[in-house]
Amino acid sequence: MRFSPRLPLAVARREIVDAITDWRIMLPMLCLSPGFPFFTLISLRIGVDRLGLPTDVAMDTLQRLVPFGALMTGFFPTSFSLVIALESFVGEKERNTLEALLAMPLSDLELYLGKLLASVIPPVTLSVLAIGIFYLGIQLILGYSMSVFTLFLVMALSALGALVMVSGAVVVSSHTSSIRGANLLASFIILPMTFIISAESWCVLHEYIDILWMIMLAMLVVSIIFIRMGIRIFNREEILSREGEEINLPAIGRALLRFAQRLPRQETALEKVTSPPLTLWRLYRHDIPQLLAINRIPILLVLLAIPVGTFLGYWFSYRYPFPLAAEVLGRSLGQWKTLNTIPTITIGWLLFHNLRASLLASALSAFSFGTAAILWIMLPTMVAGFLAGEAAQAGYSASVFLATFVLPHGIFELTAAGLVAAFGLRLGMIIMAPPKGMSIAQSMAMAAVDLVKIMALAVPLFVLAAWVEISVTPQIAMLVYGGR
Amino acid sequence: MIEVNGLTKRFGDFTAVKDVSFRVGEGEILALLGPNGAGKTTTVRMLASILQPTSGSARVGGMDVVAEAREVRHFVGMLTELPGLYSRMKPLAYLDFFGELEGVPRSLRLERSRELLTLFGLWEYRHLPLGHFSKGMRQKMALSRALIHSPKVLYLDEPTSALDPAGAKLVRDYIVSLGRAGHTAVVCTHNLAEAEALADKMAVIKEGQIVAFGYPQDLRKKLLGPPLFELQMVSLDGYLPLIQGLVKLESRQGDRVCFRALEPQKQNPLLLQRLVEAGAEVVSLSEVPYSLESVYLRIVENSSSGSS
Repeated sequence: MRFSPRLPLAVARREIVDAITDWRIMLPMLCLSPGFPFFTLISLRIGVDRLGLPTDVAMDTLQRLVPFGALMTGFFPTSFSLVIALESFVGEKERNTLEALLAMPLSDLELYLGKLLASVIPPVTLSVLAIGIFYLGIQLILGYSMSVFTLFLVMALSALGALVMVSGAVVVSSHTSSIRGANLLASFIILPMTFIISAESWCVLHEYIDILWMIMLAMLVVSIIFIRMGIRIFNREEILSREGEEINLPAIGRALLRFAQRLPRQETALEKVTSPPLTLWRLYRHDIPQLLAINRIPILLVLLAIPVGTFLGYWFSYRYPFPLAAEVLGRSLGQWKTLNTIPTITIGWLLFHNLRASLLASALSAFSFGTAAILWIMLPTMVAGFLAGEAAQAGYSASVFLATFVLPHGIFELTAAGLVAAFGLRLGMIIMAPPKGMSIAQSMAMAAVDLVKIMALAVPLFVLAAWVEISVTPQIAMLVYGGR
Repeated sequence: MIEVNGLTKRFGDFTAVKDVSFRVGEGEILALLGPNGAGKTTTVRMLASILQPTSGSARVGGMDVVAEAREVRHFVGMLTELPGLYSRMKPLAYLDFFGELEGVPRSLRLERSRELLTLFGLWEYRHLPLGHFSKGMRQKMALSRALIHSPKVLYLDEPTSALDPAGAKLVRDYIVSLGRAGHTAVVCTHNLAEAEALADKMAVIKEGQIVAFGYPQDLRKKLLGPPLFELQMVSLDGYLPLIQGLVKLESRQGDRVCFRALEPQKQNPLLLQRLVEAGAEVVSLSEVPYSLESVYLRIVENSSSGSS
C-alpha cells in the first residue's frame, strides 16, 4: 500500500472535530481570538488620541505600532497550537486511545501528518481570522491602512510560529508519556518562542524587514528539522517501547557502562557482543581511532565552522567597523614590547577555562540540537577574525596577525575544541536520527560515552595548547611585533 | 493462517519474548495463556505488525509481519487490552472513523456498524457519547471496532475482562461462531474457563517463552496422566478385589472408587461386564473432568522448577 493523503486527512478531520467539540479548548480560543484584535485596536486608538500627537507624528507612530499589534494579534491564537499538539500526541497515549490507531493500516508518516495538520489548522485558522479582524478594524477604528505585504508577513510569521511550536511539541512529547510531563517539558518550546516573538516585535517596531525574512527562514528550517525529527521519533516501535517515564538511575548506569565497554564499532549492535577490556591501550589504540573514523561528518562540519567563523568575524569588522578598536589595536601592536599583561594568565587558569567551557558547551548541546557546540567553536573564531580585520584596517597584515596570535596554540586548542564540539554536536543531533533499533535515551547515552572517550584525546591537547599559549605565543608576538 | 518461527523481542536489556514458534490454522482459535508480564501482549503486537520482532519471523495470512506490515494490519482486527475510546465521539461516528481507516466503503460502514451495534446490544445507545458508556459497553464497542472490516484474523486481548456473565457469554459465542465461519483468532486471557470454552489450541507463555502448546485434551493427558474415572455402586463390599484386578485404584470413599484407565475403551466395558456378572449393582461410571486450571498450574509450576 502506498502513501495515501486520504488517511492523514481522516485522522486530522477526527481530531479537529474532537478539538472543536472540547469547550475547554474552544471557549478561550473563540472568545479571546476575535476579542484580542478589538482590545489591541482600542488600546492603539486611545494611546494615539491621549498623546495628542500632530497628524504626521501620529501616522508615523501608527505605522510602527499597527504591524506590531497585528503580530501580537496573530500570535495569540497560535499559542493554543502547543496545547492541542500535546493533547494530540501525548494525551492519546495517556488515555490509551493510541494503540487502536497504531493497529490501523496507516503508516507512521500518515499518522504523524494527520496529527500535525490537526494541531496546526485550528490555531492558524483562528490566527488568520484574528489578523483579518484586526486588518478591517484598523481601517474602521483607526482610519489607517496596513499594506497587503505587511499583512502577508504577519500571517506567515504566525503560521510558521505555530508550525515550530507543534513540530517542537512532538519532539518534546517523545520524552514523556503523560500530559503533565509534557506540559513541564513545553517550557523548552515556550522560552525560545518568547525570544523569537521578542525579536520579531523588535524588528517590526524598527521596520527591519530583512531580519524578519531571516527569522522566517530560520523558523522554516527549524520546523523542517523538527518535522524530520518528529517523523523519526513518532513511530510505533518508539511509542510502545516507551511505557514508563521514571528515571531509572541503575539502568542509565548500566547503559553507560555497556557502551563504555564496547568498541565504538560495536556500540549500535542490538545483540550481545564481546569486547576486549577497556584499558588505556585499547582507548588510544582502538576506541579513539574508531570514533574519529565513525564521526568524520560532525568533525568535518566543525572543521568547516572554524574558517566560516573567522571569515564572518573578518567580514563584520568591515561591515560594522569599530574605528576605535582598530586604533587601540594598532597602537597596542605598535607598542607590543612595552605591554605587560600576558603573564597574569597562567597555564592552569587557561586549561581550567577551556575544560569548563568545553563541558558547558557539550551539556548545552544536548538540549540545543548541537547548536551550542557549533556556536562554542564559531564565536571565538569570529572574535579572532574580527580582530584580524581590525588589525588589517590599522595597517597590519591580517594573516600575519592570525599566524602570530592564533596559529601557535590554535593548532592544538582548535583541534581539541573542534573534537569536543564535533562530539557535542553529535550528542545534540543524535536525537534526530537515533541508530536503528535504539531508543533516544540509549542513543544519547552512547553519544555521551563517546564524548567522554574523546576527552581522553582533547584534554592532553588542551594542556599543550595552554602551555604554548602562555609560553610560546607571546614570544612569537614579541618577535613579530616587538621590533616595530 | 498464522506461522511463527523463533520470534524474539528485546527492549534494551529486557527480553520480552524469546524464540516463540507456533502455528494456527484457518478457523482455529488459539488461547494464549500466561501470568502478567509473560509476553502475551508483546507477541500479539508483533503478530499485528504494531511492533517489529528483534529476530525471528512470522507470517499472517501468508504475509510477512515486517515486510508487509501495512497489509497485515489491514488483514487483522485487534482488540487492545484497554478499550481506549474517544470519549466525545458517538458510536456510529467512532466506527465510521475506524472503518474509513480500514478502507471500508462508505456505503458499507453504516450497515456494518448497525449490524455490530445491534449484535452487542448497543444500537439503542448510538446517540450517547462514548464517555457515558459503562466498562462493559466500552469493551463491546472496542470489539466492534476490531470487527468493523470483517477481518480474517482476530487478536483479542482479554475480550471479556470487563463484561458481566451474560455479556461475556454473548462475546464468547460470537467468537466461536467466527471460528466456525473460518475466521482465525488468538485470544490472550487469564480466564482459564474462557480459554477452555473457546480454544481449539492452547499456548502457555511464561517469561517470554512458550512452555506448552497443543490441543487442550492432549495437554491434559500429557501433564496429568491417563484419564480418571469414578465408579459408584450400591455397595462395594466383596467387589474391590475384582476391580483392583482390572484397573489401578486411586482412591476410595464409601461406595465410590476412583481409578485410572490407560485404555478406557477396552478396560471400562470389561469392568462393567465383570461386575454385572458378579451380581454387583452399579449406580454410575463417569470420567472425572480435569480442570484446565490444574493443567495450567502444573505447566507453570513445571516450567518454574525446570528453569530454577
